[in-house]
Amino acid sequence: MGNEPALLFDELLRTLPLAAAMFDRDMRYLAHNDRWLPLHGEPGGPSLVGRSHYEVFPDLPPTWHAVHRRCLTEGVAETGLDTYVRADGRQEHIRWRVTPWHDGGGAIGGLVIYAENIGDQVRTEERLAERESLIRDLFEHSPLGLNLCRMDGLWLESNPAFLDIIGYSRAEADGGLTYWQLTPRKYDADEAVQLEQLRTRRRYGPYEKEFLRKDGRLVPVRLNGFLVSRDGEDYIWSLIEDLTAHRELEAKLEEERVTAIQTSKLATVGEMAASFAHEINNPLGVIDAFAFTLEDAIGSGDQEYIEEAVRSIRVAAARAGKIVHGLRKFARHPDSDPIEDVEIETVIDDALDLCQARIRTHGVELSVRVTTAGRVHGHAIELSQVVVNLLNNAFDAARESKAKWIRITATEGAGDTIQVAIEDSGAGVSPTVEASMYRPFFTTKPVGTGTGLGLSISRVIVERHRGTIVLDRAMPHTCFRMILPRLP
Amino acid sequence: MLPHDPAEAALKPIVYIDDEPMLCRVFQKILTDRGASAVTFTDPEAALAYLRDHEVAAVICDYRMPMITGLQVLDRVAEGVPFFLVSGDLGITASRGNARVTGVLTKPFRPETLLEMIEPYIAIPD
Repeated sequence: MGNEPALLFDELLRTLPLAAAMFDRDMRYLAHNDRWLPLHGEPGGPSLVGRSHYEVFPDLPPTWHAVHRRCLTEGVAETGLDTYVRADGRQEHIRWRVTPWHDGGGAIGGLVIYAENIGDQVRTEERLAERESLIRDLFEHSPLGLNLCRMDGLWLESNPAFLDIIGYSRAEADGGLTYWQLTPRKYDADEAVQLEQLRTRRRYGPYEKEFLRKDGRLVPVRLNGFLVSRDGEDYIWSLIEDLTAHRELEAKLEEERVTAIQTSKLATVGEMAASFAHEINNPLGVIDAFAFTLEDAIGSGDQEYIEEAVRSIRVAAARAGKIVHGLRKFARHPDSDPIEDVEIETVIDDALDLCQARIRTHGVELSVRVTTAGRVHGHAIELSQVVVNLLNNAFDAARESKAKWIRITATEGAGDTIQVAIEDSGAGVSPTVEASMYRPFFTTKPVGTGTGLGLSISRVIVERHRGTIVLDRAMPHTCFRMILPRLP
Repeated sequence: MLPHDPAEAALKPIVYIDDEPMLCRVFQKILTDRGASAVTFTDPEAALAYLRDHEVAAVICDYRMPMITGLQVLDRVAEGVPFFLVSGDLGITASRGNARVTGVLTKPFRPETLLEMIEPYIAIPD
């Protein structure tokens, strides 16, 4: 390449990363580079040198005409960013600089205009702004709490849903509060587990805990979150779901379940009332009759008989008391049936207290074999209720059969379970009945004798205890099994 | 058979059947104290065997027993024997339609009530 100024000027113009054009005082083109041409939509068109700028761009905004005049008269450069709509309707975004050039004598020889069509850049920025606004809307209007925090727990950004959950304003929360300030200490161990998950999997949750609200109330929440990295630093995004309504619904459902269980239990007691009457009447009769004889015996001084009578009265009173005690225990309010560790034998014994006299009085042979000292975790009375229901069904089936027997066995089953099997000599359960027997109000018993709630409630109870109730088809007779998790 | 001849009845025992041993024991005592002859059974089959071989003044029988009901016992007792049914169950009405049931005692009953009902069949020595 030579060193001639003209060539150097052309080379400079060609390599300039902007559109550039040089004009004389009459705004006629003296020179321009190739980048100038696409500005008016004709890339690769013929050179404009010698033509008037205003002729080439007839739709230039009047403000630009003014800029050119000012620059030519005052000799001061101007810059700007303008949007103008071309004749064909297209919007152009032009960043420009207009500067005068001077001749050898120092006079303004004309103008140099640098221009850059930044339409793509503007459109990209607009798209970004639109996306930003969409994401901002999502953040602001999300019903799910959203929160960004630093690894040390300092909250950086909280959305309104999250602020609602914790009861703080954005000004109080972001940059002022930490995750730990609102986390009760009882969650320390759980938090450690979640942090470990964050470290190993870069995400945590679902994790249920409580936040301590500004008003001091604890609010149940479910958290999910993940790590993001910015400029070499890790941050935690958390999604926070308020479980208050969920928990209230659960509590209501639980209350309804408990009410249904209690109602069914009292209905069972009602069905068994006749047998309780029988069991109490006998001891009452014994007491009354012995007392009747005591008058004469005392008169005649029959000491031996007096002692026998007193002994018999006490035995009978104890027997009646035991029935009432069992009944009271069974029928007591669910509030008095807390969750506890209970031996399965106790569960069975409590049920037998209620049922066995009736079973035996009707000539049904009853055998009980408990080969486990295993315990289960749950409501003792509810579990007894299941055994009572199964025993009542077994009793109704067995008393109609020829052999008339019921067998109860409690054993340790596979997978840390306890199995209580109740088997009877009855006619068995048909597949049709089996398909419907857990449905509420389904009964095969005569009208007025069964509520049809026994098995359905029993299943509710057993499932509440994370167990199952099954009809064991492998056994030759009707055999229901209650399978419960065994405590270690 | 009614009206009963007390002189004749005096020779015949009252049979009391109930699966509750204490009731058998105490009514044995009550009836005997009244001067009646009483035989009690907790096993209905043993009572039925006895009834086959003995003439009795009356039978008092519990309704609800393990292997058999009082009415089933009655079916196997000879015609003409006064038969009193004792019922502890609620709503036992089966006896109402049975003409052979002489009387029904509903538990709980007072011993006096039983004595009153059985009075015509007991010969009380003067």
